[in-house]
Amino acid sequence: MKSLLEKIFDTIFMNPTRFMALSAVVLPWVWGLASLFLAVGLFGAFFLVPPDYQQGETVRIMYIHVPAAWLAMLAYIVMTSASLGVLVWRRPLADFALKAAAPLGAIFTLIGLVTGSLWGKPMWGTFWVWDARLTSFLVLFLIYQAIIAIRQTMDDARGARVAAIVTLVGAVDLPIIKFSVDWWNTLHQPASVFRAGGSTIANAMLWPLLVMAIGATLLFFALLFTSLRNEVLNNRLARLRGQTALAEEPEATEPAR
Amino acid sequence: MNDDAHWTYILLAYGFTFAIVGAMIVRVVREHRRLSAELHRLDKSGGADG
Repeated sequence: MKSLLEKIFDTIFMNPTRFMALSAVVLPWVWGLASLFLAVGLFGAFFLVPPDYQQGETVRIMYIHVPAAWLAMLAYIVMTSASLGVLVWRRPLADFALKAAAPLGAIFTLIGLVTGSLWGKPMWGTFWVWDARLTSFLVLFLIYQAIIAIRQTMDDARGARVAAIVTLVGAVDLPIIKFSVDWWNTLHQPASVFRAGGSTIANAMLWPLLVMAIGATLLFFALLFTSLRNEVLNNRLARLRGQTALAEEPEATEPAR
Repeated sequence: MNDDAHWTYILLAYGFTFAIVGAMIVRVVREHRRLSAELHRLDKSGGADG
């Protein structure tokens, strides 16, 4: 009996033609909703949220830093699922999803690192410290770079398997990032949104953060599915070019016979 | 630290994010248009040949 995850894979990743038809209908809505949520979230972050009593205006960096950090980890969860698709269920689109999600995850991790540094300087007095949260997040960025490098240098089925295995091994960094602030003494603050006992952020500051998080997640999926469509189109083009080359080959070789 | 200095960091953070996300959106969408156009052209030339 198929698991729920496998059924989702079958629906999305089993048939590239079905995926292309489905994504062509859904994608404009995802782009539109992402723009709407991000516009409302940014308006709230800049014009409706009051300055923090300790951090002052600098708290506004939270509205891009936190969604970027969440998406850096979400992209990796997508890649981990895609790795199972490559190694266990051998779905044709799973490798495309892995390839498409890696650069997006790397970019959101970079945004999380840079905006975190720019938030840290006025609050902590330094751009960087080697504490557990920051270091494990930097490791995530390096894992993304390794996976991208593998996929660019080994563009075949073997490369897909190696990238999937490295992704699964690298997934151990996700719980380390999440619980680093609980397991070790860190300069980074502990969880303040999703935690036992509820959020510690005032509602006036929390709702634009959640709206920005939804908007950024929709933007991530819009970019992911567009990149995935690019991979499918690239594959079709390669096959078409191959067929054209085969069709032209007898003519080209005929004089030599 | 005064509010002006805070705003410098805020604008740097948002400027960097908009620049990098904007560049990513432009790259992905342009690539999609290029590939779609090339596939359409190859399909048409294949159809004409056939």
